[in-house]
Amino acid sequence: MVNDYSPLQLDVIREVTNIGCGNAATALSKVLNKRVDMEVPSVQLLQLADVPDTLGGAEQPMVAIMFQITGDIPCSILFMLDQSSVNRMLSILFGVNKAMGEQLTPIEQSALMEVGNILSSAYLGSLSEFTRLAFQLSVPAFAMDMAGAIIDIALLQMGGFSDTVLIIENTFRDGEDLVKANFLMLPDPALMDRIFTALGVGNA
Amino acid sequence: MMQSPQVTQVGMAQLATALAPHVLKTLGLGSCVGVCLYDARLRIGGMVHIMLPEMALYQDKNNASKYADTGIPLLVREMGRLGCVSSRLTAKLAGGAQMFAFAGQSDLMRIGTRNVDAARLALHQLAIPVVAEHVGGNFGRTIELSCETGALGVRTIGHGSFTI
Repeated sequence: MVNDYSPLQLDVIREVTNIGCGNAATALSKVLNKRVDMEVPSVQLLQLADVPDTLGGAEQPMVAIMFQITGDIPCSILFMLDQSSVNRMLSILFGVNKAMGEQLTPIEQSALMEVGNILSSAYLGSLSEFTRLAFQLSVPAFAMDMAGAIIDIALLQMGGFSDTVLIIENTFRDGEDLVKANFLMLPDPALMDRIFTALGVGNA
Repeated sequence: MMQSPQVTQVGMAQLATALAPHVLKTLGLGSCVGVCLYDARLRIGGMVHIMLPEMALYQDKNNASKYADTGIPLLVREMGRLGCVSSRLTAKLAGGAQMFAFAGQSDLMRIGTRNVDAARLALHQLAIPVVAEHVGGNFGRTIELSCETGALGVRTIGHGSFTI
């Protein structure tokens, strides 16, 4: 199945993503009660097999918060943070300094899930406004493991259809502290077409 | 000085074969299953990184090595071209984890278990015995098959390392 997106479609997705992530940054800033800046998110179209390398290698330890999306566009969202971003996030939230590789307590896991929930909701909220499509988020599920192992379940949802995947990388900045968050949104190509149609670039 | 053996990396939905002393490796198996076949007489190994149980259930028919029911017979044929006889092959399985726990399990979330079942079935139909496996759980695995010995190394984060 061919699913090459046109430059215009990619630009539109970039712009919507930019606004969505802006809303997410505002939401994060409210949670943390401090100013949060955001760099322009990168939107990439990747081959399935190259996804783990983009996230720093298949064996890279990462935290992932996964949501099932129901509504007009059933799909999954993965919100992924590498270990140093997790540690920075926890230091901002709780003032704790975790060592690399240290296990997370249930309350820390829960806090990260809530941050993932807030950011994903803010992002989907703006996507919903632009497209007039409805998205409902499930409760989050948590995993901390190798990047390759985490993403394969999400890729599977596309895996039956296509070998191409859309990835959004966001960098939030709190002063010198960087939190790099990756959103992987994985609707199948037919649903992606519905999003493009709703954005007015269905055949562009 | 001992030279370390050459390592061939097997990506998602790919397969590879190698002769001793090469090592076949796949990184970060989650719900995917690494199926390793070994011919001890010729010391030839094969590995396929399967993602889904059955080709018939999915639209993409271009890549046979993505599915258990087509990838395993394909690997056996590839090894046959190197002179391996399927009656001599033994199998080891690793992977098939369930990485996320959601309330009300959907079929998608159980894909690890379904992949393992489909791999066992395909091997059974080819009369290839499964001599060892390290499957299930909720954690990822990196595996390395030594074509020298047929030993399969399994590495995890926080759940130990094993040789099976």
